[in-house]
Amino acid sequence: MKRIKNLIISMLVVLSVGMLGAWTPEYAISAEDRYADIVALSPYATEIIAFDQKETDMKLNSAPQYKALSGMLNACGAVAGSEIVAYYDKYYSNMIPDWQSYFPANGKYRAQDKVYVPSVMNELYSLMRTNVNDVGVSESDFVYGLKQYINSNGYSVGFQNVVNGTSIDYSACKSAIDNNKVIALLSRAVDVYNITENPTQDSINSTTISDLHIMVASGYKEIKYYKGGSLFRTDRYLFVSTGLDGYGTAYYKVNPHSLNYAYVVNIS
Amino acid sequence: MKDKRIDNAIESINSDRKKEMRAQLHSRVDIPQQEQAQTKSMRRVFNAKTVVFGALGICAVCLAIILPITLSGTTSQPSGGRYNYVASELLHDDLGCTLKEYVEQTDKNILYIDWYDVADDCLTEKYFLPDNENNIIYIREDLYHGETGDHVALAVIARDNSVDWLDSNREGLVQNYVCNNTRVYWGYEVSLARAYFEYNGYNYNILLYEPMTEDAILDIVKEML
Repeated sequence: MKRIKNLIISMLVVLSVGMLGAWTPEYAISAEDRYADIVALSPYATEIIAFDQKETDMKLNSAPQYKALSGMLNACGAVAGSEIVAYYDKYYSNMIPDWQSYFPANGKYRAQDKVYVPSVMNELYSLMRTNVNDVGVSESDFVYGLKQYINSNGYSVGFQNVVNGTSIDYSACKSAIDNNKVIALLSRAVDVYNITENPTQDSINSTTISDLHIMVASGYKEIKYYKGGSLFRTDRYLFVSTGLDGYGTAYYKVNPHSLNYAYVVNIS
Repeated sequence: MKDKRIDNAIESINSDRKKEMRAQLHSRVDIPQQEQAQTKSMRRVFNAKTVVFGALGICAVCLAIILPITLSGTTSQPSGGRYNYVASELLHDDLGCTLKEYVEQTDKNILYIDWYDVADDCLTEKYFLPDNENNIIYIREDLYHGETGDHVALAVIARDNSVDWLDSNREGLVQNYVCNNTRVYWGYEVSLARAYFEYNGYNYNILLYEPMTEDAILDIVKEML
């Protein structure tokens, strides 16, 4: 009887300690975080924002929309890297040799082709050591692999992180995008959004990204909503290529954000 | 063990004479007085009901504090039960032909966007479950207009089927337009215009990226219908 009592007590103590230990009020970034396959789910979660007036400050740069090759597992690092490389191919012509990632007539980006983009994606998948130590890529593997690819084509690259804990330098994001740069977002699980605009209301559809994922931001949008002349809400977004099936693009809310890193990619 | 059984037996008696009875019985079976004191003090601390309920109370308090904080950081959960498939669970592969060619080959009455003469890029893919490539859940065709750079996507799915992102595409499309007796729901934002309609047993989802005008997507729908 006494043994049973002691066993119950021990189990309850362990359970209590375990629950306390599981409580993490602020996410602690680990060097072992892996960005891998995620479940993207579009639930019936639509928010309606009604307003009298709104002010919008935005810039959207056209950007490639790619997704993982069929059968390629945990490839968000390689997909995001391919989008970054293809984006800069418009400004640095040897980024993808022998191919133009965009239409010269209008500057918009081409579809994911069946030859050049798969070649880049496969090379990045390997350079980033995808699935080598663990599933997907780590932050350091993502940066290293992308750097290796860019360097091998004769260019230099720098990564400027604009996230510091719970804060993000939104001005730096805007400045980068205004200067035709992209930002690699290494994100925790998060909802991303599609916005539908109407004269007196916006509809915000969400897609849930279930785990750590890498996306590429090429635009920003800040919306200030007013009712009765008073500002009641401000939403700040980065416009991203999600690297996923479905819409392919979405708005990533940054106030607050769910980012481990946001690297402005500087090519020279 | 003998002393434990004796003590337990005495303990079960609700009597003021417990102390006296214990001393008498212990002396008869040669149990030292020191053990008796120790046993008594241990029994007071380890009262089973008190400990169990106390620990459960601690657990409940911990859960009441931790759960709301932990769950507040999680993303939204699906509503469940309103679609058959999640896009993430489907595989995709080249259909091997354009949607127009597929319609001609299969004699299915499926509408398509006839940009083939002006599209520099055309990607047509089938989406299916991993164990059955021939059971197509939906077809998606992306067309890129070479001159204007316009990018339009059409996703077609049988009406009795559903995928999460295609179902949710209907959300927020508050504007509607009737064309050829078909009601079209549509919406606009500078990065993406969306439209949805049902026709002849299929659901059609159109995405027009970076539309030039607010209602440019309707021009595409009119061409289809």
